Amino acid sequence: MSEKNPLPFAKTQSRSMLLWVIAVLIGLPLVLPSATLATEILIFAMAALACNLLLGYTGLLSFGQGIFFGAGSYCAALLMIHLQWGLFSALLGAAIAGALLAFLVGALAIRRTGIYFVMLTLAFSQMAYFLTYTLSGWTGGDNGLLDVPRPEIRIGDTLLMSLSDARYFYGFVAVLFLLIFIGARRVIASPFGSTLMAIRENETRAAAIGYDTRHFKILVFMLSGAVTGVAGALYAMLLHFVPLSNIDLMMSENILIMTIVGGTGSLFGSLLGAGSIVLLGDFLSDLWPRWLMLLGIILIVVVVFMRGGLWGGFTSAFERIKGSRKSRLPIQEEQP
Amino acid sequence: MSAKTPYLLETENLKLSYGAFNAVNGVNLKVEQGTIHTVIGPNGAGKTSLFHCLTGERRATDGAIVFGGKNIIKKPSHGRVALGMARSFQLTSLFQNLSVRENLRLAAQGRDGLAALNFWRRVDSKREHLDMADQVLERLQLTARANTLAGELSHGQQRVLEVGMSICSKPKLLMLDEPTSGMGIDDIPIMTQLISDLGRDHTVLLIEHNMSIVMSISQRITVMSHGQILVEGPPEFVRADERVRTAYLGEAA
Repeated sequence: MSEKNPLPFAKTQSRSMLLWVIAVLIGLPLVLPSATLATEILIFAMAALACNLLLGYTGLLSFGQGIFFGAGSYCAALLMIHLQWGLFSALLGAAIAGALLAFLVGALAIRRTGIYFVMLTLAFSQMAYFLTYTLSGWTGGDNGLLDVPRPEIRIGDTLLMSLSDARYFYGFVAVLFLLIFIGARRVIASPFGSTLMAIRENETRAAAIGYDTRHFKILVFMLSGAVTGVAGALYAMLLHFVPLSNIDLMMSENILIMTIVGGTGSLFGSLLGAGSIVLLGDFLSDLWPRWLMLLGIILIVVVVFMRGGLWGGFTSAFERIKGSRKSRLPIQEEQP
Repeated sequence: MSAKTPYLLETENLKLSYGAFNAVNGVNLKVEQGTIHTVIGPNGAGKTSLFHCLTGERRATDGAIVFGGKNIIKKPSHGRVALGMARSFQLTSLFQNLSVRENLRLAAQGRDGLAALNFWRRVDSKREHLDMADQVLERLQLTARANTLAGELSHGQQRVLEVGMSICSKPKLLMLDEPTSGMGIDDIPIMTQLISDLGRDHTVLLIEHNMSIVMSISQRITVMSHGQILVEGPPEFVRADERVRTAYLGEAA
């Protein structure tokens, strides 16, 4: 990727970043007209965050994210419908399905680099779509998979909380999002994460200093697939329904767009990206049936004028306002 | 191959062919432990092809590469680092958007190979990699620029970092591919100084164009021509050789 943004911020700032995320999680349902809309934002933010691990931190442009999202949806839904699996086991099943598929797609696709890699993920994405379409006995084909339950939170036989109220479900998704956000930050700050950035910057050099880059790429693919699968499962629970579009190429595109608009290489950016695209879609579709055109224009504006997406735009504007009060030493997010 | 050999690296009848063309044509190179050994030769002599075989960037067509008593011809480049080989690049190849310190730390971490797949520990839980990065920073006299992005260093400093990254993995053999390439005349003494300094505790295999460096710091010189070894010996010997003069030194000596 040519769009590498080394957005500098120090450790204290990254701690306040966590507070920002918590503030957003609390604020979203208060500001937005419905908890369902807020939940949708978080679910896509999860998917965008997982995409960001690939695109922003490893430099892999994957059109396969829809596969993992869709697989998570179908897998969790089928487990709940046919085997009466509970909430956590269904989510775990979705994570495993996402990770396994990501392993398959990743292991094959990373044998090629650059444009060929992208084409391979695209091909897998199309295959997954048609496979799902064909297996209509299980997936419902064009009609989608109906009557997906939203199980309550249980430990053993004791019922802890029902999630049928949209606000409670939001709370559950928000906690999960926070955990995934913290987990992703840990991954980025680990030896593994630092190696991913080395691969993004210069794969030849990374190999020359001793890293077998294939293993790193496959592992990041699997982590990304697992998180995307969980997001897909939550989406199925939110809608009580799995539309075929969950595994469509459009889904991969949407996730990519959210990631890029929010800002690659910043996890908070993914939340921004998902939030703005979901909200814009919601708002614009009320105004005009051809709202996707407006979205296209906005996408062009962000990509052309805001280096590093919305997050990059915000931070550079912020820096400009702050002027030269602080030292300009560029300290990487991942620096200890 | 007995382990008692004084040679850290030996190639036996090494060949690299592109179709009918033999870029490296039966080279028997012997690099003695603890020396600075330089490979020179006119353009197209096969120096870089030889180098690529040694680093694992290209798989040699035939022959053997014996390093520390083991034939490593089938090892991929990343696998050679753990054995104690390290290289620098002719065209500066850094992690441009990462800090100088992080460049060095990553290079130190690379020797652990797949241990770096650990995604749940913090980077600074491996103190030794940071310590190594700081030591090398000091040695390169780049401590003041530790937090600068590698891409923002001057060209000369980037070349120094390029070479410095290769010592972070505590290698037995340093392979440097034209470390002065593209350096300004004022920066070259710094690089010469650095290489002879590194030669004190590493075996160095150097590919170099710059004659004054080659003659002043090498203990042994191999002259290549047409994919083969033309002459090999100490600097005085090579300098005096008639064939070398005609093949290569004409312009410089």
